[in-house]
Amino acid sequence: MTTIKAACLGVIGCAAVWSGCASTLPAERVAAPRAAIRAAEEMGAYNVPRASLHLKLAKDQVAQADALIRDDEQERAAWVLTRADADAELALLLAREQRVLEEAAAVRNQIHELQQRTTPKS
Amino acid sequence: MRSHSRVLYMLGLLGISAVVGACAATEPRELLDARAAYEEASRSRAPELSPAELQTAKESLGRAEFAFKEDGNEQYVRDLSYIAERKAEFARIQSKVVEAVRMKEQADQELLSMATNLAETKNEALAVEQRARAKAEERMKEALARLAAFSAIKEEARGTVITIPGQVLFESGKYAILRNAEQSLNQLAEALLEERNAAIVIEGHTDSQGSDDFNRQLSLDRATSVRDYLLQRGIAPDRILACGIGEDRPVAQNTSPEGRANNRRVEVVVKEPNAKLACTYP
Repeated sequence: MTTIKAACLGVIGCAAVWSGCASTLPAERVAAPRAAIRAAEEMGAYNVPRASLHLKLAKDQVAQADALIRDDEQERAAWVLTRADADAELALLLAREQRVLEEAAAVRNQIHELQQRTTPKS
Repeated sequence: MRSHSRVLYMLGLLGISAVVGACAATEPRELLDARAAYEEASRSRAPELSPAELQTAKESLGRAEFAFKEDGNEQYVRDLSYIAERKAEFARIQSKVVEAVRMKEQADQELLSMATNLAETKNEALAVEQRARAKAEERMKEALARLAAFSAIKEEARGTVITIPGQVLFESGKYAILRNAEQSLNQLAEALLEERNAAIVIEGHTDSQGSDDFNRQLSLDRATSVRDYLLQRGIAPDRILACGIGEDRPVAQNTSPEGRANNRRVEVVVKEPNAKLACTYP
C-alpha cells in the first residue's frame, strides 16, 4: 500500500511530503487552490449555483488543510489541498461557462435588435 | 453494494477477512461517483471538444481504480476518487465552454457582417438619393426652360414667380382653359411636381376695364381653373391656393393695349416648402 500511495502522491505532486524528508508542504502546493479560488470569485462563481457549491467546498477544504498543517498532519493536508484545488478549478470553469453563455446571449440580443430595426414593419 | 458489505461483515465475524483481503473491500461512494462522472463526460462532446481534459480525467480515474484494487477503501483512495470525479466533470464542462465560445464567435461574426451590410446599404441609399436629387434638379431646370417659352420667370421676395399671359390661357372674359394652353400647363405641372414640397399660390390678374367686382371674380375663377388643372396633374391640394386679385396689382399702364395685355395674366408663385399660403402680402 505504501508504494502505491507514494506513487499517487508523486503523481499529484506531493512526493516530497510523503518521502518524509520535508516536514512542510511546498509553498506552491498551499498557494495553488487559493489562487484558483480567487480566480473563480473574480469570474463571478458566487452567482452561479453549481460554481458556488464547488467554491464553498474548496474554501472549506483549504481551511481544513490549514488546521491539519497546524497539527503537523502534512500528508493529510496535502491530500485535502489537492481536493480543494480540483474543486476550485471546477468552480472557475463553471463560472467561465456562465460568463461565455451570457456574452453569447448579449451578442444574440444585439443581432435580434438590429434585425428588428432593419426589417420594415408591414 | 449493501450485499457486499454484509458479506464482508459476515466474513469478519468468521475471522477470515485476512483471506479475502482488499479484493472484497466495499467500493467507496467517491469511486462510484467518479466512474459515473467519467461515463457522462465520455458520452458528452468532450471526446471531440476537450480531448486533453478527458484524457487527464481518464488517467485520474485509472489511478483511483488501481489504488482501490491494491489498497481497498482507504482514505487516499477516496481522495483520488473525489479528484477523479472533479476532473471528469471538468472535462465535460470544458467541452461546453468550447461550444459556448464557438457560439459566441459565430454570433460575433454574424453581428459584424450585419453591421457591415447595414453600413453598405446606408451608403448605397445615400448615393441613390443623391443621384435622384441631382436628376430632379436637372429635370426642374429643363421644365423651367420649357416654361420660359410661354411665360416669364422671376425670382422675387415672395418666391419664384412664373407669369403666364392671359391670352395664352383664356378667351377674353372667360375662365375655361383653352385647349391650346393645356400643353403649357402640363409643363408647368411637371416643373411643380419636381419641387416636391413647395407651397404654390396661383394669382389671377386683370386689366382695369370692367367693374372691380367683375374683375375680381373673373381673376378668381381663372386662378381656380389653373389650380384645378394642376390638381388633375397630381399637385397635392393642400400645397396650392387660388387667389383673385382683380385689377389691384397692375404691372403696366392700363392706358395702352399692350399695357392692358400685360396686366391680364396669371402668376404662379412657388414658395419655400411649408410656407404659409395667403393671397395678401405683408
